[in-house]
Amino acid sequence: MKDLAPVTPQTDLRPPALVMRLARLGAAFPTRLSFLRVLIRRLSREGARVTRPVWQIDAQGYGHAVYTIGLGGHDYSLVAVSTHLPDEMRTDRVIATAWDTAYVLYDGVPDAAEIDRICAAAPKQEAARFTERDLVLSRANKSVRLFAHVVDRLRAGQQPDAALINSVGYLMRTTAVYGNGKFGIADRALIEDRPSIEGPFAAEMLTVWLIRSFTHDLVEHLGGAALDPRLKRHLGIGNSTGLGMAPFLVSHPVLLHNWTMARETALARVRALPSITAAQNETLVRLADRAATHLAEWQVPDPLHQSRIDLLRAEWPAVRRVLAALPPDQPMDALIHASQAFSPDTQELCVALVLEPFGEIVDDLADQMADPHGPIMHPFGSVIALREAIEAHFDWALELDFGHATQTRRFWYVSEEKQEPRIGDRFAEPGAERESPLDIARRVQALYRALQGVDDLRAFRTTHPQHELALQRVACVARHAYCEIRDNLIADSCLPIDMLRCKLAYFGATKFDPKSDRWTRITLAQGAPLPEDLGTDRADDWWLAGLTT
Amino acid sequence: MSFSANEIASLAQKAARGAGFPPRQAEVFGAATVHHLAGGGAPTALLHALADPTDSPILRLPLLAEDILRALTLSGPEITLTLQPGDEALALAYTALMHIHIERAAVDQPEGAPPRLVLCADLDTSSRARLPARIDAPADLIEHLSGLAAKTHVAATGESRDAGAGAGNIDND
Repeated sequence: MKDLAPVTPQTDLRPPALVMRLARLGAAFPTRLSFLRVLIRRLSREGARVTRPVWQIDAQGYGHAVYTIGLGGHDYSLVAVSTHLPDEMRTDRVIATAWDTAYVLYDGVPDAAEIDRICAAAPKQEAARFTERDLVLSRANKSVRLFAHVVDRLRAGQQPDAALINSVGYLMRTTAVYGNGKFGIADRALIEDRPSIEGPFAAEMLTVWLIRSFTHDLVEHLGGAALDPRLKRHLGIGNSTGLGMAPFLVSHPVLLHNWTMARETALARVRALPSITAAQNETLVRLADRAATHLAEWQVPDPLHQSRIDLLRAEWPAVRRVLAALPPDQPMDALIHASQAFSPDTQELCVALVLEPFGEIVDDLADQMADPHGPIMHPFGSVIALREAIEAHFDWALELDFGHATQTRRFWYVSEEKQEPRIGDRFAEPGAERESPLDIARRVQALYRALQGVDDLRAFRTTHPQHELALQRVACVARHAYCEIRDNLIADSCLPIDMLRCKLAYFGATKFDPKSDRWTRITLAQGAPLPEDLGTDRADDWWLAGLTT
Repeated sequence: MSFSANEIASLAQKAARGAGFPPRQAEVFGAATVHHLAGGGAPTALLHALADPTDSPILRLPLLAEDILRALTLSGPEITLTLQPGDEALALAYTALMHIHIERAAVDQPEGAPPRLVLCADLDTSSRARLPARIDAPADLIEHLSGLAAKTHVAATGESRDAGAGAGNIDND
């Protein structure tokens, strides 16, 4: 008889009505289930080793390099191309046409002809065509201030200023990381069965982590000296992200569910722990102190976001006091209960904190975050069943007044010039008739109203094809409770930045630095292991790591 | 020309939206287009489907999967379903989107009768049709699809540009 794996006890999950509100999603923090963490754990567990078979970089820092890593029985190579970029051409905007550096994550080890091909194509980015051997396409610009400082200091035989490294956090920031078939690169389906890289955005995270190594090597090459590993570890990779990322969460509902379900299940397992050891308690206290340092170092120019950080800083000592006096029974549940007295930001930071010491009961959930099947339609048998499902899962949408301009002011569209998602004012800008279908709440309400007096659902669907998207969303949420953002994404109160933060937190981003309600800078891999750290204790102990922790 | 499957699916989806089809049906059409071309299907079938947003297999065939599931449950593994005239060219591509193991699938048209989908499939075995790494598509099809897709695009406003990622004079910091 086949043995059944023991079921890990868990408390009730937090309800979607709480978790899937947009403001709550916009308060997310990286956790040990974030994709970069998951990838680094796997690299470390597999004993992956990074080699640099090609380094053709000149004295000015221009040329190309190749980094290769074996993972899950396959080799992957980052081809990095560095070119001269005049300051006046350096822009983070997606409409840019030139960058300091360009990258391709290649499937295998490229020969000379393939390297030549990539070196010619990668700097052109969207204007070039790529092949199925090219898995990820990216580019990055220098943080001129820090890059120049680090090179100058190394040339002078000194180490760079730690405070400056801390405040900037990266030598370069990517402005796009393309995967899944864009511009001819490989479809995700081609690698989704590959061990260790099958997870969501694993190939993209591998690319970013290797780019970080290239930026380190480049400043050491130009500076003629080695960086202190402690400082080097704290040089992550930056990213500028705009609206292009936001619709993904709407167009991939099963993925959004799977990511959220994994995190919420992890939380429920930790909350169900009947007790914790003294060592685990000490770890929690140490991590809470690390978080406090992170909060102290997290400074942004945007006053609204800074006020949220200020509140977090003010509330965190109270969380620390709760940690110091946890009850013996279900202590993690008690901590989460206590956190509910604080702001959503503090609550979500607590969620990320309590997952951290309990990898043994949490980490297996990372295997459930992909979506190998895509949305599978499970049709409703009757109008009554459909209406009941709407009332159960979209009650919040039925309450909205779409006759009021405040509920419909925004419209999402795809820009003509770069074919990128944008958002406009329906009453002040042209193009609303070409709106992208992110108005899920409005559509579901319209479906519900159209079902009044309908008996034959199949006949209704044939004669009312415009409601099929709404019907599919209802069918999806009936099976995948966390698949839907529970807010009106065309309301004038909608803040797309919340969608960006949600997705970026799942990636593992920190130091969110919103520049408007539509784009943000972030840092990835700050404090992350260097290639030589893989296999050591450092490899999985860098949550919110700072220079002083 | 050859493309990734995702490029073809995205382009065909946008083209269907640009042609006036509802978004869900456009999405399914995008996925079906990949299977149609990968299976050597004629591009003209796609163009015909896009021609009339009020009477098209793009509107009808998304419901085919449910009909197949129902028929397989009742009388599988071998079933025969009657198709609407005009749907025969893309029916197999839509069938390929289902996550079931398909033993045989064919479309035939008995004389004087509407076209039929003849299918032998196992409902209990989850399976997904494998796609090649590259999808070949003729340039004139791509041009036509791109023209329709452009009808979903909007010229970005100055306000949008001013608020977009990277906006502002801070890129050399």
